[in-house]
Amino acid sequence: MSLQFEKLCSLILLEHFGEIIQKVGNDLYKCQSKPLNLIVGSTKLPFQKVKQALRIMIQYGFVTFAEGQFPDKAEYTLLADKVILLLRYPRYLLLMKTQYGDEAEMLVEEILRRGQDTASSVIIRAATRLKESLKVEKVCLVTLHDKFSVLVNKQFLMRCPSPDEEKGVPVLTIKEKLLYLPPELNLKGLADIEEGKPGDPGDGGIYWRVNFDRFHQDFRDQIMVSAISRRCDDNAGELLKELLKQMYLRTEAWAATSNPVPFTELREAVRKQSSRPLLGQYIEQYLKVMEEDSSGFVSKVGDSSGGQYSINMKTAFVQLTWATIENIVMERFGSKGARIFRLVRAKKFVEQEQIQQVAMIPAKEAKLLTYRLLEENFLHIQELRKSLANNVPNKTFFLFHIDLNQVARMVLEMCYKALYNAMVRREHERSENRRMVEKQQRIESITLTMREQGATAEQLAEVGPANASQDHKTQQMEVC
Amino acid sequence: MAGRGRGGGRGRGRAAMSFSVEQLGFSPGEALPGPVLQPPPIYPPMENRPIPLQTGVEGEYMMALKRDFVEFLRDSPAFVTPVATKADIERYSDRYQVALANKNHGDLKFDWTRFPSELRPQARLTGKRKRRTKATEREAKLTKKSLDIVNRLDELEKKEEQQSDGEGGGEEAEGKEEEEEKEGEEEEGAMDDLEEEDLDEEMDEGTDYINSYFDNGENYLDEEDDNLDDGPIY
Repeated sequence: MSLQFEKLCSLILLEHFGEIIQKVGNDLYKCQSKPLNLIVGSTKLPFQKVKQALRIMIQYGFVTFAEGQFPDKAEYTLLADKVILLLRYPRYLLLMKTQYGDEAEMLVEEILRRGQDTASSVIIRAATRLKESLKVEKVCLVTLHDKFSVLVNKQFLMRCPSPDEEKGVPVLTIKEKLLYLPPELNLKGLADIEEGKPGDPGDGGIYWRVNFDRFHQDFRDQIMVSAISRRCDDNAGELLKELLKQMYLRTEAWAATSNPVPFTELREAVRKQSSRPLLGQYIEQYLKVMEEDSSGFVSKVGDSSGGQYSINMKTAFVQLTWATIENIVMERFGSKGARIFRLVRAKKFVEQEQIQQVAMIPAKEAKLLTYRLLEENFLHIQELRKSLANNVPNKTFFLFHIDLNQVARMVLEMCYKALYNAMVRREHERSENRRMVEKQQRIESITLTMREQGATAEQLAEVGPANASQDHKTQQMEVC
Repeated sequence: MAGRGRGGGRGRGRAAMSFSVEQLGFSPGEALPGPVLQPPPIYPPMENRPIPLQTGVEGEYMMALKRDFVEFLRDSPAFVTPVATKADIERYSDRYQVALANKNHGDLKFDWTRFPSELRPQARLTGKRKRRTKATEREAKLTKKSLDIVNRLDELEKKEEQQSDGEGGGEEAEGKEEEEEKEGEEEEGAMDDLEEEDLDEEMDEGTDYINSYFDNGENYLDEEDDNLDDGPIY
């Protein structure tokens, strides 16, 4: 991919998994796939450590293997996208917590911590952790098991492919219909294992992992709903949520446009949801507003059964991308720069003089901003020559235009670089303030114990003033 | 190409350049920005400060989650630590530190059928067997070498016996022979290193002292010898 991406992946691996895995990851990033011996040769790490590193990376899903040139010797490939996803784990867990509850969050967290695991061990570990955190005596295993099945049915968790036959390099496959089949667990066996007795929960060899795509789908929906809520109001957001739910019954998840949803069903669904009576009253008006809105989220595709509405995912996200990039331009170049950018977007191909005239910005400033935008690759130039000869003072037209794909990729690179810089800076701040942070922690623990023992306020103040500002800075760094 | 065009134009008698200064956008007489003499600064000054980070309850919660996750990974056996280089002296606390560091390493269990055979631990046995045969080959070579050396030493010994005291030479030869054996063991130990933990090379017989350092005092009386080859005498 790109240099920034590589550095970012490398840093993430270092932070989470340590030096050895970082080195192996770097090595695999550079080449498509490599067998074990070549990795050992180029990283110059001990053989055992490389084996360990590869095992762990396969477990967590960053590396896949396939049969290479020699039989029984596998070639390993790094999946860099999965490495970046490590940064999103807290968001996934937050989504789980808000939508499905603490137990679901705990289950998903346990699977994320281990990469892949059997359902029984996940449930047992989650039960132990819940017991500790909620300080309850007994956590019902049945509820956890039910929650697990719910998550599988909603496709948040999926089965890992398993090897067919015993070979040197196993080929992992799984049938489509088995992917989201909930496990059948022997609850008695589960209870036995929890108490420490040996028992068989009946699901050996079936491993589960998190289905990241499903989470991304949910994030996408959230983005769209919040965009509509900002644009119109909350009721419209609610309406879009209902529309999305209806859409999923009929369309596959990542289609560019959804299949049409008839109005009658939508109205039924909205009526069942009694939380917003206003929405039920004005549903038609809301739909009309959303349909005529320039953002193009929803469009009416037919008139049967009261109207057929469909959501245009692709157009919606193109619009959102434009909006994001315009905001970025505004933050970097000021509102005048943003005005120029919007102008070029609206007119598709503009000449320098036209920009000056239409944007109503003084000439020199307009030129300056235009060329700065060009320098930063937000604008592109298209030359139209009138003659091929170069020595004639020819009237070549220089037209400014925006190529959204290129600009979007460039902004993505900028994000990677910013993320990398932020992480490096955070490490730096952390190591610099390490002494301070440790002191702060010690003070906290001392005050806690003292408070438990009933110390007076003066004694607490004696222990030391909290260096709040330094600590706050360190915490800010960790936000990234 | 542009240069050539311009050069050709000049040759023909002052034809204008392919673009005029007006077209570029600067009216004549205005101050043009100066020549760029060095690469742009690495940290250019920002005109507009970025928007402050948004932290709310959710942000704090996610931060806590992330911290927990990273800490968990660091403590887990998934965090592969490089082989620690040995300190110059073995310290008493090393025994306990190593125990602490290795405490979690047994936890991570893998389902070996899902991994390629070369990554499985059973592969070690075949590796070991191969290594063992290689080791025995090397050992054979070493013993041959040491035999050669022993032979050479015997010859030297005889020469020295002819020159000076026989006992001193004999001792040297013995010392050298033991050193060679030590080296042979050390090499094997180094190869086994790859499979197992480091064999402490100096701890073969429960002491810190390399046997060749040991001077059992028999040379004490033979001070007349020119013992240039002996190790440092403590």
